[in-house]
Amino acid sequence: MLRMTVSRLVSAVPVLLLISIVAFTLLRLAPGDPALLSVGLEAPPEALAKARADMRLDDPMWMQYFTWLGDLVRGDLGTSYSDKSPVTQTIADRLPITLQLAVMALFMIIAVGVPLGVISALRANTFVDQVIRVGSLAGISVPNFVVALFLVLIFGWWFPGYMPYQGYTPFGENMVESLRSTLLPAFALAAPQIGLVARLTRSSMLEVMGQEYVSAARAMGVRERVIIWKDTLRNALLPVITVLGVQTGFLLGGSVVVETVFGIPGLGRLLVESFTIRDYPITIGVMMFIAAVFVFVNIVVDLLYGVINPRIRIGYASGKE
Amino acid sequence: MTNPSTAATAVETDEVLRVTDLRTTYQFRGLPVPAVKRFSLSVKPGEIVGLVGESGSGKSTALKSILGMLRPPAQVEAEEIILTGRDLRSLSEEEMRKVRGGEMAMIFQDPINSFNPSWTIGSQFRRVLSLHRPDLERKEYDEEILRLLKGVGIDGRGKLNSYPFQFSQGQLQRIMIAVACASKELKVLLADEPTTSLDVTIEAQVLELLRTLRVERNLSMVLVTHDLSVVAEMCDKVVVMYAGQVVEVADVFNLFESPQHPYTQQLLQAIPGFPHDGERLYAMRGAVPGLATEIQGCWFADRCDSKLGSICDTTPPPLYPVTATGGLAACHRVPDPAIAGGEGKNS
Repeated sequence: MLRMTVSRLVSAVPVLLLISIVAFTLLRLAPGDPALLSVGLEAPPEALAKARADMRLDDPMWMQYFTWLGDLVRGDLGTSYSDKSPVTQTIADRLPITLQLAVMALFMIIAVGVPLGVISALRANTFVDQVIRVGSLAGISVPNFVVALFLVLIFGWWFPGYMPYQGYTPFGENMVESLRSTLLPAFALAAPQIGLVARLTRSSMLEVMGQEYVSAARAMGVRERVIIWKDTLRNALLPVITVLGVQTGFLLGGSVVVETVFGIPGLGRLLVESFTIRDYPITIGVMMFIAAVFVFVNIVVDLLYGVINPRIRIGYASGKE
Repeated sequence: MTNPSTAATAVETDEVLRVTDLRTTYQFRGLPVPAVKRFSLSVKPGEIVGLVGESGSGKSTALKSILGMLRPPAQVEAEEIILTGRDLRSLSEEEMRKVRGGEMAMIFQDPINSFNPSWTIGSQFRRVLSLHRPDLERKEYDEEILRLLKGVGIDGRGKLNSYPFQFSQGQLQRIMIAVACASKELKVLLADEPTTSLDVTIEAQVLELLRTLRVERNLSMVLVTHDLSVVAEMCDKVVVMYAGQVVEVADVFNLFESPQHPYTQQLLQAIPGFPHDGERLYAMRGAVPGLATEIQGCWFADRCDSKLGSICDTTPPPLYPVTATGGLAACHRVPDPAIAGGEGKNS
């Protein structure tokens, strides 16, 4: 298990390096001059030159990259162009908000998607199954910003006053209100994934239920309830867990749009704001952070897979892969 | 659950399992598909009955139906399914669950798939003991498992925490047999092609093991197989199935010596001789008709080399008793073999 953990962590390094190169380059290639944006169009040329020098924008791009990378290795993501505060601090301030959103969405996906899939599989080809399948497909097909806009329309225009649809109440200030303020955005974030997970759970359950070991368990007189919950579900959830891992990364990415629509000051919003004013250190910092979380979550999923699937775990322990 | 008196009754009637007129219907896209149309079976204590036929002839479905393993929308009807004096159709689902793995158990074709891949062998074995061995304390389980494994020729010491994929196919089939035989009440073992996925040496060992069990525990078996040499080696009696129906029942000697049904005859003819004479090998023409096909007469008529005439296309042959052998065969030629070419005499 340790060996597996280490090997997965090591393999994450080149992935993140590659991401950093691509992200850094794309960001610098995007039109817009942060120095000009910070000093203003009317500013004298000397001020602009000074700003450029301060931001080290006069260095060749590869040098800028390595300077940035060197700082990154030391845990320093630089300082914001706009308010001169450390990027790590800004991210740390915004992270809990996005995290609250993502965790809530993930909870909804698991708590709604998996049971729907199980019901659908157990009632395969009946009316209930059809309803769930069509509903899931609709969920997958509608992008989350559409869901978000509709939720704002419903709770902000048609039925105002029931649910907060704009802004964010900090968790420390009022716990209940805070959760309420992220409920709609979390649902907007979760809706497509709920559909995906429901469909995946359904097909995976059906596949496992057709396996011979399920027949064998039945032939040995195991209770039907036990067959479904212990024999079937555990094996059926393997692919679901993999997908959930990948989806967790998308939840962070998806929060960019959803946070903007609901006016939630999280990481996604930070990314959009910083990019608008070409605040390079913040933009690249947030991007790298999201990428790192994405990679890390996938490693965790890989390891979890090992816990659930003895084949992988024991394969590693005995040195064969 | 069974008390000794019911077991005694079964011995008196000289039948441990009797199935009469079993019919199983699957649903496919809302249409009923009859997978088993006419199936009867009688098994005596300690008897091994072979069940042969091409793929799709309903052998496995028949076994699963007997054991009550099929779930709706599949439908199972039967005149009677009597195991040691009790009609299984009258049992509640809970009672039926205790029969499965208790008095009647089943082993399958592909041993590696008969075990849940994410559980250890020991935990899967212990679960079965907890279901069918009320006589044991929980702490006695492992000892009993080792004893049962020893009975099938496996030294299980230190291996109970291993996972199915860490065993070979042959070992797994032995373990599966040990699991199936865990219950003291076991009377009938249904074996669905238990050696098909094994190589020949391992196959011989597993068959030998089954024979030993029959002798030691007076176990009856229904052995589904494609392999007529396995039938010849193992079985006392043979039931030949074709397209969901029993077409011939005979004891094993008569089946090979004087097969009555043309299907059986043609199956036997298809076995290549050794040494081979260089002639082109015989192959049965055509294929098993689809399950949903509507056929008026004999289901085998289209592929039959000894078809009588229009009677075969219009009248389904019932299972006629064969006086010479004491078997049964569903063919119009049976009542009077002399009428080859004649028509209408028996209809």
